[in-house]
Amino acid sequence: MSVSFTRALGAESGVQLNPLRDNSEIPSQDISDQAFGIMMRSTRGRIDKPFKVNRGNVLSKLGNGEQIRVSALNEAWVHVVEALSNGAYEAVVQRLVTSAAAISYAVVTQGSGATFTPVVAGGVVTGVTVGGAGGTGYVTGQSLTFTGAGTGAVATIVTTDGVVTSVTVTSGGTGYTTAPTAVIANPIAVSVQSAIPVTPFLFAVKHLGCFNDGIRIDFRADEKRLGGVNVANDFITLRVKDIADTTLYEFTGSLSTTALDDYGKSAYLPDIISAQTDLVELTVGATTTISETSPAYGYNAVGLPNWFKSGNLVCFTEGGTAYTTQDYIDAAHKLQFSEYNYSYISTGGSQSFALIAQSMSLAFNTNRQLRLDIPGNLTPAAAVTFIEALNLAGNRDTAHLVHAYWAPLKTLDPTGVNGKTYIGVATLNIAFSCARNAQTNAKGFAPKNYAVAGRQYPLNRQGVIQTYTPSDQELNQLARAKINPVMFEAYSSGQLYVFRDSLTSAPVDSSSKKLISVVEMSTSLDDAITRFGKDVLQLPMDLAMKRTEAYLKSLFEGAVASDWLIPSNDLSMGGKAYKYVVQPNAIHPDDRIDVSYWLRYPGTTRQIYFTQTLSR
Amino acid sequence: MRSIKLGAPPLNEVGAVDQINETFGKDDFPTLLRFTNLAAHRANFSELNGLDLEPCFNEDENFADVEVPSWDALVRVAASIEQVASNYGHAEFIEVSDIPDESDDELDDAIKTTRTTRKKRGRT
Repeated sequence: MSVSFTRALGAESGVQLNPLRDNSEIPSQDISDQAFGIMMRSTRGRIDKPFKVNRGNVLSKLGNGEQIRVSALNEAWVHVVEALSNGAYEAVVQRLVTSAAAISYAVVTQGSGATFTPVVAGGVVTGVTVGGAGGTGYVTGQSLTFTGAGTGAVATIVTTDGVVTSVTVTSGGTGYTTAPTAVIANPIAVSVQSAIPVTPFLFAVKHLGCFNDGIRIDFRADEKRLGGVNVANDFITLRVKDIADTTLYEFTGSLSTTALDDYGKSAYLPDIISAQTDLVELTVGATTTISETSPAYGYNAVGLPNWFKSGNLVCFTEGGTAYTTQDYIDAAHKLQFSEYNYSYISTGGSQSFALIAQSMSLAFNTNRQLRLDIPGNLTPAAAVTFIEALNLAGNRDTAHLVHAYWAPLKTLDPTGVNGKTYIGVATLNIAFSCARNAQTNAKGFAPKNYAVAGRQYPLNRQGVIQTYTPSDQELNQLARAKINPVMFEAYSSGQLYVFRDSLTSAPVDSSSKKLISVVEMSTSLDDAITRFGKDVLQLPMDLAMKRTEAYLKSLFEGAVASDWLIPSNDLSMGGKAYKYVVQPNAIHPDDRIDVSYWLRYPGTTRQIYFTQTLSR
Repeated sequence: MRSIKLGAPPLNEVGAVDQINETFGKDDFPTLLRFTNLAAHRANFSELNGLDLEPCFNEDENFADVEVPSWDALVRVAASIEQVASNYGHAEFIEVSDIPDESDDELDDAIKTTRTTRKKRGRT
């Protein structure tokens, strides 16, 4: 006996060792407050659900940027790329599409079975007779190769449902003293089809990455030796590439449903693919081997592997950009229920009220902060009209989550795609917030009590030109409308373009709800507390209440130590920075806990009045 | 002359996008259309070439003739008009119409009014 215990002791004498109990778990440090969500138009990216992009893969996942002068919708791409280069760890993107968007299949066929007999008259190929009942898997337009005494004959096949029905001789050539042989040297073809065909095919690839610019497919089969000769192989290596020939995915597996690898696991290519990514789907057709005579089989004369390489395959139709309110609702819904976490929402510089309104709904539903841009080419009066159209005063429970920026600045595009133009700064502000949030202290708190505004966070774009300088009265008008101007300011260390203010859109004048820093901290604490609440659901009531109390105490002490909370001057707070009550619900004491907490956050210095008095 | 009035969807039987589809769905783009503010407050739809309209009582400034670059752009701005109309509770907010030709203007002038309207272009 190698151990002195058993795991389940019955009536016998012995020792039972129970499994290790782990009480060492502490809340993990996630990076959700270094990420933002956005619904946007892009030229690449899946359309069925949100996806993450980071600094390293943003171009391959979202595609190259297009110019804002072509469409204002392209500004969002600049926002995302710039934000990921300035502190945002990742972006959770829901691609905007209309109901007309459609994904097609890249269908690979391998013709086989047809025979071709050239008819010669006077040294010229005058026709070709099709045998083998036309075979299967052929595509109209595939070329015949003539081998014989003459030269110059050119012919292509005509097919119906993959069966060769006739051959069109476009040039009869000369010098054919005897009938040449004719074969289709490359019987493999790839076509883009909206549905999986009913006729025989090799395999069909569906790329859910949805590239407007198309994809390419390469594949090959290695030599398979049997009885000393090459035979058809069902194992292939498949590469899915972008149009720049950069490999996106490479898979090796079998087209046979029963194939197993050396460890007895499925080697069926669709299984191999689904284990690696959910962005590629492969359907195997009736043809399940690569012929030994195929140009995608084995090696060429100099020993290099033979690959079949497709041309550019445009398998995704964007379907235009005529986004309706329903399209925005669908995108916001997907972001709301995404498995990916993020703390901020950006409108990507959109000027669409329909998009902004749905982003506001998303902010409310998820308690996340929405930062939006008011077009920089508007005057202050027009900027106020723009923000008033959102009716934030009528959305009192949402307004504090909405932060509006107006930057009357023309700047060089940080991505280089556009020239000097108006580019919104709200997403850049999010990026700066993300960079700040990465700097947590020993208790896990980031300095969110510092607003991302003022001298500490200058605009780092090049070639900035301020196109409108508001008067004091207009600045007052903007502040009343809760619009944060981004403009030139003079400081003791020099002159900078900065986020001049840090106001939320809450329709309040003296409440701390008007400060972005307070909303940053309060949403963070709400998020932490509600997540903990999920952890203790379904535990016994007493235990859940004890754990909740302990968690709140620890959390709020940490917040105080991190200067997130300061002593309150509210009499009911008794001079403390926080107060909480955890108790069973009076009416539903068996299954409901009421948790209330009162917190006093520090403010942000927005105004200073200096007065000098001359004395004798 | 074709004309539709866009407003808040719950108060209209047909949504804004359906309305413009019925009226302008077969147009070739780009096309020139007139946008008129029917509300008593300023309306700004900068997504459509900086469209900025004064309140309805300012008869010389409450409309603009705008080159709509594409059908997609018209649908998007219709969605925005619908959204803002919902926010304000306007059953009729923005009128989208063809631009009256000069003969229409002359006829109007001759018949009953001496009012002159100043056409203005949306900012680009």
